[in-house]
Amino acid sequence: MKNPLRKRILRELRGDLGKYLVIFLFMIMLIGFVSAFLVAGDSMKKTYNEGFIKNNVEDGHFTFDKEPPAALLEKLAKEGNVKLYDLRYFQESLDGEQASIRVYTMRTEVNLTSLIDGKYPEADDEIAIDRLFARNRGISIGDDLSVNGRKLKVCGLAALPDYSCLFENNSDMMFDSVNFGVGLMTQSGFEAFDSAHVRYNYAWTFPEPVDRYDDVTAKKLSDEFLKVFGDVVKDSAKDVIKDIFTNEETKKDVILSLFGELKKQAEAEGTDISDYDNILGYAAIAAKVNSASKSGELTVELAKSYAQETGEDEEELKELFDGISFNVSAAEVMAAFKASPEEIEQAQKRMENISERFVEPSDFLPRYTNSAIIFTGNDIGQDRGSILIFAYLVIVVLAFIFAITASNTIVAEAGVIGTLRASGYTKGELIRHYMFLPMAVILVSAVVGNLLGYTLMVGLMTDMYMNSYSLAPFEPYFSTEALIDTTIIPIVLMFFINLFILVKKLRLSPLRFLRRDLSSRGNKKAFRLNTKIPIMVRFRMRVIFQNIPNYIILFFGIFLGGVLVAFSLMFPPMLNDYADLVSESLICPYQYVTAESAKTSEPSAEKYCMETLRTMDERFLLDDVSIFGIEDGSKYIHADIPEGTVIVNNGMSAKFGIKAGDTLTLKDPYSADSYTFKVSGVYKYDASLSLFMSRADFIKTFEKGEGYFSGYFSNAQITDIDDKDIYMCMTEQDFKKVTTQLMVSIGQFMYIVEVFGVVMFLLIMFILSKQIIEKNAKSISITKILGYRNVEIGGLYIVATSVVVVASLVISVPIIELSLRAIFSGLLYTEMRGYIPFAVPFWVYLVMVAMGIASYAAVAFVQMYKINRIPKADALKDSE
Amino acid sequence: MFLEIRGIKKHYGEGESRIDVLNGIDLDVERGEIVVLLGPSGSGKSTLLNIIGGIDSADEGYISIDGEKTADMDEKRLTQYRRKHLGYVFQQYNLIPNLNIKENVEVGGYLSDKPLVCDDILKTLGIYEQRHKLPNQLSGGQQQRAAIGRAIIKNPDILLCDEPTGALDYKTSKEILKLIEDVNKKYGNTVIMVTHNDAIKNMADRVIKLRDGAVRSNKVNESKIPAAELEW
Repeated sequence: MKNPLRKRILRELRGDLGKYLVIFLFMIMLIGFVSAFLVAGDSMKKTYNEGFIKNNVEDGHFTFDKEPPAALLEKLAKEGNVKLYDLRYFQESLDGEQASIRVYTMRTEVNLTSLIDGKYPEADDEIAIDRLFARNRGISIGDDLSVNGRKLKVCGLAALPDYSCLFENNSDMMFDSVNFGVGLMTQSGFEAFDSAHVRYNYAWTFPEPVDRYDDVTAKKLSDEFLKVFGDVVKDSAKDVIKDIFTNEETKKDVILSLFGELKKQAEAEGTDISDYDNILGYAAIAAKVNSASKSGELTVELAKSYAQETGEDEEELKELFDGISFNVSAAEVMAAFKASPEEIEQAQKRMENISERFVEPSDFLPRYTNSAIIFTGNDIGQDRGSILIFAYLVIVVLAFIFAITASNTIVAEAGVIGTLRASGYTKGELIRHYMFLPMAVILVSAVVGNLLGYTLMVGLMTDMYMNSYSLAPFEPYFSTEALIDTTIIPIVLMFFINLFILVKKLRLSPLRFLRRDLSSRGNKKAFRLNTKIPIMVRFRMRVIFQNIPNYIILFFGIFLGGVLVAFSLMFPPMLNDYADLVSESLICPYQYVTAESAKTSEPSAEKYCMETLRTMDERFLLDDVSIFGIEDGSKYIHADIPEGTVIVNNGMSAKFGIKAGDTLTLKDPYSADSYTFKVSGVYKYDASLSLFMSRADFIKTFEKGEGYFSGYFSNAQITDIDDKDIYMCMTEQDFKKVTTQLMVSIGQFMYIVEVFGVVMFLLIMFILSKQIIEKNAKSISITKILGYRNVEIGGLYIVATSVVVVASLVISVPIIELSLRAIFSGLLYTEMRGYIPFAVPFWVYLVMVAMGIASYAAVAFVQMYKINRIPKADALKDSE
Repeated sequence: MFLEIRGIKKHYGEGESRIDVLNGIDLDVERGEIVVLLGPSGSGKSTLLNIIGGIDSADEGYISIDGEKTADMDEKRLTQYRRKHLGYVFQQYNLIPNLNIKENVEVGGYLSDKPLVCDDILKTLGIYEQRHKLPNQLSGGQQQRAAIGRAIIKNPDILLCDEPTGALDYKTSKEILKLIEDVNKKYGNTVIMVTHNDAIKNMADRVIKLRDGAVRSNKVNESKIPAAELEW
């Protein structure tokens, strides 16, 4: 015979349909959301990971500012034991817009792309562009893109695996899929475009299929290749030097140039070099040059002169020129004397152009540090832990709601339970009975939630990821881990919490149930309330004291809902605040990175030095830190920096907890070198993670030549530097792009979080206030018989709960602030690069409290209706 | 002897508030007897009934049913003991509000391997027509019939009734008492009934009077009359 008690289940469900429906829908929504989030994340990650092999994603790339000689590439490939692929690109601005696009040719071997819509380019004026960039800029297939005065027709939307996340520069704090995009053209279209901004970019892959997900192996191989790369590039420069000095024509140019300099110098000093214009003079000069060459004096002079001319590092040049010696003959000196001024000038020009033969690497980026490739992989599923913790907390709250409901039912049915126990029902049978509904609800919610998660909601979550990342299309696949996280764990939580409460509640003897003596602390004594307190107030106080367990759960639920609402509301103002802070603390309106040879007459321009180093604190994602070398008495950085020390910006201080007196070690991202700095203070600067030192210290630390600088700070736009010498100009907009991107990426997610928060408010308030009314139905009925009006009764019970709701909302504000701060520093700071100061404006909490109160007002309205419907006869009936 | 009660002592509270409820009760009950426990409030009759029913424990002494002593049983075995041997009827009917009358009776039947036929019981109890109604749709007497049905459907060896008519009017009380008598006759259960209504003793096979926790009299009723003829 089946236990007839099971027949109660459906009736219990029907009798309290509102409550169960609300919980059921909320759980479905929660489990569906979490399941979709996990499935979308897991599926995307799988597609993303599989893409490395499938699309033959590079193991790294390096870039030159000039096309390197084929011999250099061959040597790199051979000695580095890598396969190289030409992935040159040009980058141009979209006409009349702030956005720019980096254009590659169609790939055939490496970083193979996925076509998402339309077709790949076939004609010279066709371009396929990144899907996300197109979406963010409202570009559709068939549209014309105006790029540097030329029209390109958008023929397709694609995903490039080396730009799954649209980072323009690897040192960028955040990707920028709004203002930076990538595109593909045909080889002939690329060449026909004839851009002046071609970058000679080469991807490499290691020959053996390395474990592509093992950073240690990737790092080891990349470090080995980096060493080879450095040596080969240096050797290549040496080869150029050697070639210069062994080539007879070049040698003539060198001699003529030097002679021209000598002549100019002599004229400036008022001496006459014509005294040497005879055979003895020629021999003397040749002997002096040869002697200087042998003693190394000439090497020093050449390096110095060449460093001034090209902006290269003097010490490195000395090293390059070392061992090169002239053997100048008297006849060659004589030829110089006989040369016309025009010939000398032409020779000097040719010498200046010699620098063109040196190729300088401008980027060396192993894949494991390339944010454009790895950020997506690191980020997908990064929130998994936080989302699951949140979901479990909500399920714990719901489990307690069920447990409290069961507990209240047990109190109400004490006599029945006593009779059943006295008749021989075991505790286990009753526990199973009372646990059935919560377990059924969670089980069905988990099944339905998972079904929705895999079908309808997965699209929502996919969109969320697709708002941020440029990924190839994917199919959701079954994830055992997601199933465990969204089904097994919630069921286990629900099971044990209910079991714990029910075992505790039902452990009393049948006799205690029959006597309705269910207090676990023996007979409760009603504590006294001051009789000076008006009876209505005392009544409400009694209601509050009677329902403390309900109110504790209510508080916890309000707190969780409040965290969600505040979390969703805080981001837009926080990002806006950050944008304002960036504007306020900007070093200058125009920050230029230029060639060292670039000179300007702009009066507000001030030279500065800059290097980028990387943090080593593995508790966080590795951050790039800008190291500034600042002029003494700088117009732009108003700080005294004691010699031999640095000051860090407030972001460094807040994120990593660095303060004056600390030492800080950072590493060179492109070598094994590391640098340790003594921190003497903190400087307010919010635009990026930065460290400031005097220019002299900078030159010393990074072994730069005297007079070295990286660019200019300027209050006005610099117009007298040639475009080719301006590598970068950063304005307020560039620093603000992190906020723009974050708004685009998280907007939808925050909306979902906000809805969850409000639903959580409604759910908790509805269920718990309902329970309180139901628990007191008999008292309400009695007060009705006594002559109280419904409004007065509502005033007793609803006002009591209102007081608790408002108090909970208010008390939770500082706790929410602390929690958000902890979430921010404990989770977000460790999961994101860069720094955004934590600042939640107070109005966010005011809105949160207002939303809480509005939610409760809706609930109170429903409960008031319920109070009106409680019949007077209830008081006269047996409560069971 | 079917039911042996030996030396049962029970007290509540400690120190100055100590109350000795039972001061050494010795009783024997034959199988199939209707036993009425009479006594004023506080005489210990309900406590004794609860100890017999295994829902309260004695300080001293033992209860033995068919040779099984309850004092030796742990909680699990006590539950099994109640399940196997006992049926309970209380003054408050303690019916499950969202189960109909038939289902409430079936709740008792679930506890037995060989329950009686539910419809037969309902007919015997005169509530067959009401079987699909919920408890709050029935009168007190009808609810108590259902409570008796729930107790007897598992055909217990002993039917323990604690003031079964305490909440009922005269007419309905007599109907309930008759029902208990009919059940006893039909199924042969031993009935132990606690009451403070002196008239009910007349339907008993044995009348035990308690006062101050002690048995003041234990007599076989020689002039037993049918429940229907009881007057008070």
